[in-house]
Amino acid sequence: MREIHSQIDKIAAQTTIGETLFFRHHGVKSEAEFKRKAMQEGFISKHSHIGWNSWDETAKNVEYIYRELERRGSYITRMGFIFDWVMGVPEEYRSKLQPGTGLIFKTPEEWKAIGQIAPIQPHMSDHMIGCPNALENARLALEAGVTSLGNVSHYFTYEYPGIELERERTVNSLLAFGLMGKFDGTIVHSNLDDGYGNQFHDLANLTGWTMIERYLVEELLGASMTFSYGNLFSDPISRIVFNMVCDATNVKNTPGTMTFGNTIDYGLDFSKNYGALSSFSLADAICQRHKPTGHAVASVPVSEACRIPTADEIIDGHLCVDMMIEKAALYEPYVNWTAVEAERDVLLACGRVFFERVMNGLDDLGVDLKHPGEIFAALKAIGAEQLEANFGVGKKEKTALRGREPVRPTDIIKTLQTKQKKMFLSAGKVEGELSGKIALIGSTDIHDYGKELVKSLCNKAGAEVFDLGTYVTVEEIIENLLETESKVVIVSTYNGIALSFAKDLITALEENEMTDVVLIMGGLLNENLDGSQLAVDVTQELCALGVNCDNQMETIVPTIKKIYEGTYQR
Amino acid sequence: MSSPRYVILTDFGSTFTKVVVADLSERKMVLTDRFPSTVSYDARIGLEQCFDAARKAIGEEAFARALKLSSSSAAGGLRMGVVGLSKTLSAQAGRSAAFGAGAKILHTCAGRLKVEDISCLEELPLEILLFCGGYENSGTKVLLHNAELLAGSGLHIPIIYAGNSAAASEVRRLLTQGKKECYLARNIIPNVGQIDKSQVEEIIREVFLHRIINMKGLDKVSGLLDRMVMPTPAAVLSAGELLARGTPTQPGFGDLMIVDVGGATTDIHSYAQQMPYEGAKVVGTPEPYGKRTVEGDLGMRESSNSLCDEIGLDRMIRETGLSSEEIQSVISHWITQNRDLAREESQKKVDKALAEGAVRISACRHAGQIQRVSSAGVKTLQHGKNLTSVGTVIGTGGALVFSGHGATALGQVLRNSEREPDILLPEEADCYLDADYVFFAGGLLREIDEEAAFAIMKNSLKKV
Repeated sequence: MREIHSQIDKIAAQTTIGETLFFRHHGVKSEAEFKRKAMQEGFISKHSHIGWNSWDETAKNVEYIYRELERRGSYITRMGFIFDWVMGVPEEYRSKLQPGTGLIFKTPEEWKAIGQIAPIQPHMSDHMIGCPNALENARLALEAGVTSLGNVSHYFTYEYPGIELERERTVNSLLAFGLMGKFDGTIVHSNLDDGYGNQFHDLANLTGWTMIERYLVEELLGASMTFSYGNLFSDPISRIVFNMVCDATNVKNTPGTMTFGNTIDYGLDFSKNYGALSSFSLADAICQRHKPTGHAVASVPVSEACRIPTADEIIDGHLCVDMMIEKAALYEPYVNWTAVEAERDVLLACGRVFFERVMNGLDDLGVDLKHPGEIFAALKAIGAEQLEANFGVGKKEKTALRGREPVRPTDIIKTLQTKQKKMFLSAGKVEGELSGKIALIGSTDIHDYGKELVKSLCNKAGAEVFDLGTYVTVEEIIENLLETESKVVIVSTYNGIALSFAKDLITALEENEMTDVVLIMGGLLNENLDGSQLAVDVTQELCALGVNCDNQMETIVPTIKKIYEGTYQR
Repeated sequence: MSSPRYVILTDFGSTFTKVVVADLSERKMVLTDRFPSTVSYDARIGLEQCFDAARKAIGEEAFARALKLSSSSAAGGLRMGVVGLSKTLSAQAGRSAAFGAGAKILHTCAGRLKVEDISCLEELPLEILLFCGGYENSGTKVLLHNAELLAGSGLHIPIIYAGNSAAASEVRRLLTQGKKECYLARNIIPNVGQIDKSQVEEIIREVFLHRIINMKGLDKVSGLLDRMVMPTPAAVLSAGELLARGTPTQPGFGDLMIVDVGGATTDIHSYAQQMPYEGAKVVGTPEPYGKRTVEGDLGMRESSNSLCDEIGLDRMIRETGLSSEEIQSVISHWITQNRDLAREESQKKVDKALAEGAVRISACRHAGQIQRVSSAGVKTLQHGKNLTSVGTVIGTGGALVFSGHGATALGQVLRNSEREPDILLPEEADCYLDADYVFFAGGLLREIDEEAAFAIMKNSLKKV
């Protein structure tokens, strides 16, 4: 670390913070300085994320949005620019990645231009820091006057397939965080929803996770950080509670960047989406009225779920949010803040337990708890699921998803728990029905909620379930059948490969003389057949292969029982 | 009594009995020497020669006070067989534990054992059998079948059971009834994606040190030593880990590999945390940080025939510039006269090609590989350990250290990413030779003083 720190000092000495139009307009030297003043004056910032892929279109629209909002008596404080993923890797590796649809900057002049379009402060978070090119991105962004940069969370989840730069990612991220720590007014941003935040089931563990990220970035690397969240927070009150949770550990009083809009509730019906926009922005505005943290209220255009929004749709969203900000002042005195604070305190208390458990676990593994690089790498290698399963604060419960009852489930998990309750009800009394029976389970893709539900039902019925995780392969299933002697393989699939996967597995079962093993498949049983563009249902073809395609939770337990009793008919 | 200043570290090998004297206060090596092995008739002779050299180096009084530790790989080292259920999970985990304990594996069986498997095991000069398989609370039918066959076999060696604990008592009953010496260890693969091999490794070493070593003529030397600590390969494995990780005051080398080309085998050690390569899905049993593999068919003397076959005669001809007959003549000589060193030009050329081949093939077998798949939800599977992060490769053993072609041989560890895109070896690395041949001593000394052990090994490294 000594070397890292001396490098940080050297780079910092050669770096100067640029001046954006926004800074000049407001007479400040950083966004943090502006936010602190705004918080004192009761002014609530507003934010939009934009993602046009050409510079000309971006510049034209940003200017239009600023002028038009001004003309209509509204405002926008900051804008998040979506960068292409190739920006996450050094120049010499970019040809290995297929460029996407985001902005790509090649020269310092292009970087500097971003803060000179209109008096809107730019925010950069995608593929900036937390990636292999973190240091260069941070330096160029700071020189351009962009003082809020993310994402810490991306270190753990954003990948660049085909490019093996994990060591560079770690070193450069440490350098980038450390560099920002050398300049007052810079804010290291972490959007939890992009990282482990969307993988934890329990908000208590997520709270503990914020403490871990803060420990790394603030205590060990000397920077100031803030958390962003919101995409996955549907419940308006949980948004307020979580903001207060993050604020409670913000000992440096670093202003927040923004709270993201809740996009879970967005669909194709724009009228309903206006309702969703009003709901979350009202909650976020009430929160800022009660205890300002500097988080800007985000306006998410109602069209976002179905297309890249137009500049006018972004403007419409802001006008709607303006009304919510105005009315929030009327709601704020009547919110039961004692109850909100009690919820905050539960999360904080449990989060501290999670933090301690993880740190103790890392210490047991021999990780140097004063070395941020070691901790970052170890946490990434362990992954959110294992962290939650091993160090989570929820009570251990075999039938619970991930084996623990969340203290405060996330909104997605709440929905899943509701489904689980319904499933348990429809399955009837299953306790003990599968005692001593063994089942293998896995999913062919990243979607594991279906798998988790079936697993919890089988556990409830007393089965010994061996979970092979996501992206399961035929070879793994065969090898695990040899180890377990299971007669049942349950595969959840959503990625349109149901038939070819089943064919491969059944061939392998035959080759290994395991024809008594029954394959149960559920999820989306479809596939593109004969080169067609549209995936078609393949249930009949699967049944013809002897695969169980009931695809109903309530029949799983009796089916497994029959398989073991030898009465199951294919 | 104050702790001794010197530690005398000896190693009983098949060819030499080696000695290293370490000065703990100065953290340096005072003496290194070797004498022809006498283990086959009286191990004490070789040991006394080592001790005489040590006495001369540090004086009688210091010698008397010095701690005396030893390792052994004599009489063929520790020879093991492994029986598991699946190839990539329990059998692989069993192999990993056996290698980690310092053994070489003569045979591995997976699945439901057949009579032919038992015959094969019976014919081999095995000293310990590791029997494993099954997660906790999974099925036991195949395990019990295998236990019955092993119980009824003509194997008269210790059998260590490290499988599903639900079958443990029945397995022990069956094996004991079959007059087998049976040890129980924790399940080596308790659940999906988990490996727990520390206890079984400990038991293997204990059985080796307390039961087997006496049968190798080393019982006579135990009174002359403070401790026989571990099999030599386990000492080298431990030494490599220390070099990679470093000590509280001396930074380690980071991810590294050690290559030891011997007469009968080639050992590869690697030290790196397992990481998925370019987002590949890692399948199979979890890979340990410190991993050792032994290739019993790749060696410079006793195994030169099979090594030559693996390399391919065409390639041998191309690389040596010799005719097929000339190569065969050298190989035939090596197999029968396995203590001889290369003197003639043709022998030197063959040795160089063999050493390069042994390193190349062993490294490829040791490292993980990428498999490209299309039907599953993933595009690439990773089998085995990702060693692309390795930045240091160290050669040890006479074939690399004293031959003069150690550098080119070690270079064979590196992959050409265009020709071999799917082998997970490093593309670039710094290469060193263990010039003083002290790794066994480093591993033994680590038990006493890791700062001194690290410093002595580091001083022995010569960049090539």
